[in-house]
Amino acid sequence: MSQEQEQEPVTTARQTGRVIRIALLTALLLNSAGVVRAGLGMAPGPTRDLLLDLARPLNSTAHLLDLDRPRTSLDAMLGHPDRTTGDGTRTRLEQDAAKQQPAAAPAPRLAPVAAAVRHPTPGDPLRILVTGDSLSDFDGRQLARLVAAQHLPAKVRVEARNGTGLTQPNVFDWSDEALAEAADYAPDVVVMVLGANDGWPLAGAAAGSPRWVAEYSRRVAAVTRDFLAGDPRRRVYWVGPPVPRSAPWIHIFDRIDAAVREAVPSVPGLRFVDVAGPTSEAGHYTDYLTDADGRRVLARQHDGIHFSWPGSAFPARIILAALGREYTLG
Amino acid sequence: MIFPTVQFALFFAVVLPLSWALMPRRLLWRPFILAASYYFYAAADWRYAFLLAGSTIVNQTAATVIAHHGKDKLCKAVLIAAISLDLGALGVFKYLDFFSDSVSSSLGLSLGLLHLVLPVGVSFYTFQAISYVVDVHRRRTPLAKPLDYAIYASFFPHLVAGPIVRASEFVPQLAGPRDPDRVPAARAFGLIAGGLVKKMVVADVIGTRLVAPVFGTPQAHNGTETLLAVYGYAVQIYCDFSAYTDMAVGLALLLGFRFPDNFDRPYTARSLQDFWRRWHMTLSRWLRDYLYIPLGGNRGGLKTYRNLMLTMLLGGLWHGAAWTFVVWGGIHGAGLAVERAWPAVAEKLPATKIPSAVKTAAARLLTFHVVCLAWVFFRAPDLGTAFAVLGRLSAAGPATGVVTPTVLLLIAAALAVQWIPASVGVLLRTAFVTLPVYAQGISLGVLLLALAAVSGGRGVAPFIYFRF
Repeated sequence: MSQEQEQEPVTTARQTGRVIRIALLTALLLNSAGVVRAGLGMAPGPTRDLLLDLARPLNSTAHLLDLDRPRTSLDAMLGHPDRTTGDGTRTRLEQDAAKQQPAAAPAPRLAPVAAAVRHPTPGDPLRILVTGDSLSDFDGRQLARLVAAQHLPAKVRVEARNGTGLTQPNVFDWSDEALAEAADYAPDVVVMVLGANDGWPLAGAAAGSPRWVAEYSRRVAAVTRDFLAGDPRRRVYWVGPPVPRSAPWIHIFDRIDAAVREAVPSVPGLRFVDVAGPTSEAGHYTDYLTDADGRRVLARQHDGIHFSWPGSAFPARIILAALGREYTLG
Repeated sequence: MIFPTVQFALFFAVVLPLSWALMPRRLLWRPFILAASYYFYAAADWRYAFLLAGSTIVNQTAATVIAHHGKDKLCKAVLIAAISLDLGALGVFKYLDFFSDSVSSSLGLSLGLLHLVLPVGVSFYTFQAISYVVDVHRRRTPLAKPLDYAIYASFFPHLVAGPIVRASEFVPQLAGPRDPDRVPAARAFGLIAGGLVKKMVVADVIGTRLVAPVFGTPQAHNGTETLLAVYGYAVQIYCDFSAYTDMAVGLALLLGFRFPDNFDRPYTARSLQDFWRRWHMTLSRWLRDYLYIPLGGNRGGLKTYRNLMLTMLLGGLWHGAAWTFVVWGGIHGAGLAVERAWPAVAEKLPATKIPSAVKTAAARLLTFHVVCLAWVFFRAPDLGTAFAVLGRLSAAGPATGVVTPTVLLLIAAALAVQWIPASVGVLLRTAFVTLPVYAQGISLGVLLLALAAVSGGRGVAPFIYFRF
């Protein structure tokens, strides 16, 4: 035993257990909404049920006693959106976005008809925000590389929110996030890459079913309106997920594509970017893609969902080409 | 299951009291802790548990044969077979698809890939298994009882990302019940709380706000931002990796077990040799004892340099099959070789009157920057990006806003903390245990709340070393 270990203060296992129980109870009471959200984000099973059974009544009690105030104050201090209504009430995304006007929204939720886009100059570059789930991370960084390498008048900001989607707004509400990101970054263009975590049922409809597609489409439209935040010159380029390797994702991703396409006519300013077609082999999954120099590139990661780092250059080029059809970048 | 999650808090809240309750009844405690560890591991993917069980059976069988057959030919053959199986499994999961892809790229083919997802922690428990079988062969550790070995191989605090604990350090602790009246709880809480802060406040913030943007698009950033991103990554990887192993050591302490330390203020090192005595210490000594010394160690003149280089190159490849890791290992290998040759060169140089304090400071500064240079290759997704980052170190241009006061403060604080003597930690922990139990609990609970708020409900970014 080292000298330092000999000097270490020791205590009993019983007392240690008491300290841990008090610590966990304190954290649970002061952050009960966060624990409920964490529970809702877990895979279905007994652990999730146990956690929610424990945390939900505590959350109600904590709210009644105002014990959630320290968390909301901390969130406000750190500039995070208020997410303490995570359980019991419907999130903004679950509400009918087209009809309801949120009280706290900083700007009109519905954008008017889209106006002509702003054309960037080197002195006033196009502000591109790439956001979404983990799929957006590499795509966004490769897009930033392309823009920098070609000296295009654009600045790319990447804000990936790993593990998020539209099917679990109680865990992460993209409506709130879209409003916050639109206010924080004031982008000219939002590139939204989402879908890798959306294998959950929606409003009682099984993933990929017609009702699920309709609800997903409504949510795409609602989140787009939040990104637009009333700015008729802003655009949202919604990037569909790539063709995945295996079931059930093949069907789900295909339905997500369909849902986004369905939403496009309902929101002026929303554009759909098809990545699945150009990065597949006649609509089927492929590990390898051929780049412009004729080299075969391992384009996908082990999970059969994400693009590899070199592979993400393919969707990035597709996104840039789509932007180039509306903006004068060259 | 990873440590800083609600799932793990629930798991540990159940396992800890049960473990202490069953501790006096060894016949119950052993299967209980084994089952708990397998549950922990299978939570990520139940198929992984079979791989772990297979590795355990193979290595315990090999160790049994070796222990009962002295040092004959059979014994050596079994040793080689066990190591080959261990490394073979590691190779299949870690390198086979890389090999297929390399062949595909060079021959213009599209070879099929196995799409094997690297089982979490496979590198760590494979290294432990090899050390066990070799140590039994070397008669440095006795053959463990099968259940004890199974517990050692799967013990959940160290299973996923180390530290790499040796059988001789852990198995003797299973001989009798741990003392419930001597739990170093304050040190454990300090390690766990410190680990959470390092990961969630320092590593994740620096990683997302500064390092990822600069390494993602080096062309867009000027020299100052690039340099700070390189320093930032040095801080990020230290705070990320040491956070996990600190938590592992802390959790083991709460269960009554001691693990070896894995980090000791590495950026205060005066040489690369010193750095490797402070960074991922359990891997360093593994490489030394099971690779460097069997290669011949430092007993062979020029061969010493070859051995240093080989050890570090293989250490680099252990992190993954990529040229960036080879260069990372090469920089460290070359640096260690230069350090080894330096005293003979210095003797021939004219004597200088530089004060030793200045020499030490210069050595520390130089060591830190060599380590940072190597980190550039470690972090970059490919060699092109690494050279692009290095090329931007002298670039002019406007700032893009990735360097914020928060990020600067975190980098400075994380580096400054390394200079605080370890005795200060003991003083703080002693003060903590003098608080009433409820005050200890509430203060830890408030810290958890603050950390949840800092993460903004977005959870914890994946630990860097999980992919190794």
